[in-house]
Amino acid sequence: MDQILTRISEICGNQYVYSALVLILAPLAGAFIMGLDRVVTARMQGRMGPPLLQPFYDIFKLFGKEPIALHRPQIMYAMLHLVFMMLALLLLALGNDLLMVLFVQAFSVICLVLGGMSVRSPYSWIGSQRKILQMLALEPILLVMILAINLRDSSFLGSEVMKNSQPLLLSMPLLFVAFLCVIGIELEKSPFDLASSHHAHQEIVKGITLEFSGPFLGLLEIAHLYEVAFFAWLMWAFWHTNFWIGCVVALAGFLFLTIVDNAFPRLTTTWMLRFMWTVPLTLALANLIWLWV
Amino acid sequence: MTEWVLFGLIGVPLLVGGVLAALISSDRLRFALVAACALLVAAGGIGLVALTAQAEGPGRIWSYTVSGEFAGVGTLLELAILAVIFGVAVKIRNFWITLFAVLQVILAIGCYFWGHVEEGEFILFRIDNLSRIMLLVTSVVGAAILVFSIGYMREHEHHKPEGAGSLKRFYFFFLSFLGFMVGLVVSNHLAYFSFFWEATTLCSYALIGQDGGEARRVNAVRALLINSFGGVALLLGIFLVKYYTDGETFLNLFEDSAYALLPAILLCIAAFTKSALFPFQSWLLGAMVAPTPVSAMLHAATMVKAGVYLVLRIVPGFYEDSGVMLIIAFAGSLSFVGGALLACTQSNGKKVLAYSTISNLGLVVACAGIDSPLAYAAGLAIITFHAISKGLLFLCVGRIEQRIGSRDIEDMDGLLYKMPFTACVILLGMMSMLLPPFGMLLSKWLAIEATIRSPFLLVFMVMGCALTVFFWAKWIGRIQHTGYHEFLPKEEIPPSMRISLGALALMVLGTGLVTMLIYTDVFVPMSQAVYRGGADLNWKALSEVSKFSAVVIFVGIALGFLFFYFLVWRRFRPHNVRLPFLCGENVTAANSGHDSREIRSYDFYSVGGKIEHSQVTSFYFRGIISEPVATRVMNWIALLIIIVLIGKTIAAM
Amino acid sequence: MSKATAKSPWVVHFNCNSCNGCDIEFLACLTPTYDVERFGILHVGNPKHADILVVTGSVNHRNKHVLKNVYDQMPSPKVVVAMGVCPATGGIFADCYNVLGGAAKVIPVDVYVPGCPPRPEAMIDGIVEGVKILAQKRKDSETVQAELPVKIVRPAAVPEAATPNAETTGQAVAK
Repeated sequence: MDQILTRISEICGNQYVYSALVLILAPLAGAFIMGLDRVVTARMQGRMGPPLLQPFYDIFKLFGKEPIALHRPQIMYAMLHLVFMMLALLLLALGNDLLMVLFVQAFSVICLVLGGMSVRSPYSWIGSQRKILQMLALEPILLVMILAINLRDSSFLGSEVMKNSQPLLLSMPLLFVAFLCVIGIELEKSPFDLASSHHAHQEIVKGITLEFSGPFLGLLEIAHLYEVAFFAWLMWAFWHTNFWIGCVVALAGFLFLTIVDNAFPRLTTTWMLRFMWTVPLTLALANLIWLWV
Repeated sequence: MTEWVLFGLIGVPLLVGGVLAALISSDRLRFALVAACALLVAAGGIGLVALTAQAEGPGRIWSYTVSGEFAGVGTLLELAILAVIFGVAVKIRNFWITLFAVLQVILAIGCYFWGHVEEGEFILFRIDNLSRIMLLVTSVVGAAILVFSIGYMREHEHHKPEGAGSLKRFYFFFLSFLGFMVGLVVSNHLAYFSFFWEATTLCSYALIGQDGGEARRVNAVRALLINSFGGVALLLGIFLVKYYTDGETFLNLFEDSAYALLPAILLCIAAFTKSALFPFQSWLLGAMVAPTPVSAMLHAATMVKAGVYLVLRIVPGFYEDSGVMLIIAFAGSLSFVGGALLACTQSNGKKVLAYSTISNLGLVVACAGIDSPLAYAAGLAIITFHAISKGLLFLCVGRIEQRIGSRDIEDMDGLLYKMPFTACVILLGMMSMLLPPFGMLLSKWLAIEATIRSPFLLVFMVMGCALTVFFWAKWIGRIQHTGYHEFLPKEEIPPSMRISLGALALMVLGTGLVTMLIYTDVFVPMSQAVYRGGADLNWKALSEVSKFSAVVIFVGIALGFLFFYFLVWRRFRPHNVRLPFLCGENVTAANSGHDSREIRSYDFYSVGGKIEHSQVTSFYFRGIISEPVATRVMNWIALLIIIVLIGKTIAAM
Repeated sequence: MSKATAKSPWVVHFNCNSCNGCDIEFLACLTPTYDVERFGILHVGNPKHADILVVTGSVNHRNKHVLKNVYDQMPSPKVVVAMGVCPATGGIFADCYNVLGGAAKVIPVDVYVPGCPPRPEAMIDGIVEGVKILAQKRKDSETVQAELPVKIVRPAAVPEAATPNAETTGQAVAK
């Protein structure tokens, strides 16, 4: 029995097998988290809600629809968005340079934005503009977070960070709070669900994802699953020393975001910019200075 | 042998090119001359770099020594140029420029006669790695811009405004400028250096005012004014070098003298004016009224690089004075953030590019001020990659402006169908400013990694990085905003423009492919050769990332494109196309009787069958950030930083 | 695949010229009391993401173009559910000069849910029938296109003690 286990862990340790495992399991984890999100939302609203596996049904259904689009570059951007999100998660899982991981993830989001802007639809255009404003709001904090990690561990590499015995959360609590705000923006939770949110409460008719449909929307949904897994991994990394506590941290973070999502209305982009560049940025910088001193 | 190539490189554009261009009366012959000059400059530049790269010794420095009386020649040249500027200033009756010119003349003469008049030999031209990079950039990118200008100016002649200068005047200054620029980056003797510096100022003044008219005259005068102020600072610094060290070359500046800091800082301030950093940036924005090849050559790829070249040359000798270096880094990062912030508020395409140039130059200065060899390498990389990309972008904007008659971003709608070749090239240029694995992103990445030393700089860096993404994404989106087309038409474009844009695009792609290789094999050893400090290097990060080879990414992307093309592009038929959802009835070619699939897809039928046009613009922070207010605030802060810089220098002496 | 299609039907709702009675009742289905999300039904606001088109209101010469437009922008397989009597036959507006007399004149309708307005339970029944047809269409597109019968949903019986109003009594029958 022990021999089988060591053999399995050897195989999993192989870089290619590990990468393949990450790429296959991550969307499953992401779908689970998203399903949980919808169920919790439903229970908070006093109703039953969809089954837990609903995101799987959604995505399979989308791939069964007729492929229609507005033009071909739009399809290319949807594919690029998915591919680079997968690449970002893969780089993160392989413990590569965190700054590069951030840039690849940002590139993935930019591909989505360009896809939204490439079609001649006013709603899509406005959604894309809001999405780049969202990126403007959250990039500084992510960069400060990575630099703070570097200050603490003297390296940008994810693999080096994992070797440290003290959990990140203990030395960067304020940054965790700021990071939660960032995830809220990136996953389009209220009060930041400005560009395109999931539950059809939208003044610009689904915004950036409006003109994608059928299998191409399915591509975007899968990319969203990878994105959820990406941020779940990052939140888990805040307590990387113990696997289960890390999972608890990640789930608690998502739960918090869901509760905030249901409690808050949508606010404006200028409010979001003003808020993010003052409150979380100050928290992040305070943490950074505390680490530096 | 090498020195003749060098002399040819300076002299041919200057004397042969410029003077001949002014004398020839046939336009076709003149254009042929320009093309010939372009080829010669490119060949000469590459040849010179290859020849001098074989020199022995650390840093592979090639020097050309001359006897002492050539110092007098240098001063004479200086005085000649200053006399011309003085004449211009008197003719336009501008008090300040006249004053600056007179001050410069006094300083130049005083510099020559102070101390020992040069008797011994001195090194006149000195080509090290930094000069080689600048040479490559100037000659290759400059040659491409020259070729482009043939097609552009030919078209420009048809609708230039009243009172515009002739092609003779244009090419006289344009070709001479190349010669002066080459001289600037190889000069070691400061009198010659300042001669070339002032000569480029003069060329800039002449070329900005090329098309005549009141507004252009005002902008040209402003450029001359600010650059003359820089010239005063430059000559004051040179005078102090002579005063303290009794020699007038860059090498004298680096001698271990307790007093070398003040002249170095004065030279840096002169560099700030030339590179249009805050608070001296207004001349660059005004200079955008010039014809596009001028904007590309002078104000993006070469002349403004002269300023940061000077900073990069000076800074490695002064890493011990870390307080002063930090303030220089601050000044740079302020321009980085300020340029990016103001670029987000502009819709005029050339102004966005100008602010972006200011922003990137500020980043180079910030990299220079952070005392880390990795940051220095990042600064070198930004100079190279930025020159190619920004030159390409300016040329594309010029071509687009000629074609659609406007340089506003909001008018660049649907370009992918109207001008496919230019649209693809400009998209490539903009992607290269923004995305991995092109060099600009890697440089920003290295710069951020190096900033870890000083958290105060960090705030500026991260804000600037975030803002940069914003305005590029907006513009890229607007250009490829299009409807469904089965086939893209072939664009009619003059062959010279096509060659030039194609060459620059290939350069962008090529350098992008081998970025990591260039970094580890070229830039980092260069910075190690000049850097005299002992700070640690972030090698592990660099080597980790360089494992993730850019070639793999490009090959992957190429495979992905092939896959996409065969599986998706060819299978996508018109019956898969739908119109955008407008919550109403779309106006289509079928039901409106018009035949244009491009314009109509934003239109819908409203009450009574009336066709409504909808229009959306990008987000320009209107009402939140206003350009005049923001500029004023940042100018004051920048002025404060410069005053603190000078004060701290004097205190540190 | 058809199982997934049956478990995740997304709805777009188009109001032709309804008095809004049916629309309010339909939106009530989305509230926690009736909660259609437990079937996986999401109300997406645009045809490109939707599988089921819910039509309310009578179709007239003006909005038939828009209705056709919305129907065309949906990717197949798709199902149309006509809520209320107005899109079925024109309802109480059937004799108006501009009313065409039912959505079937413009687009193919799969399920009719009569009522003025139909009760939310009837609406949910209708959508569930539509989902079954949707799954059938999805399965058929993998094999052979088949002619499908049109369903009509009758309102459910109201318990005698609840309301004195006789018009809303009926039988829930699905053919």
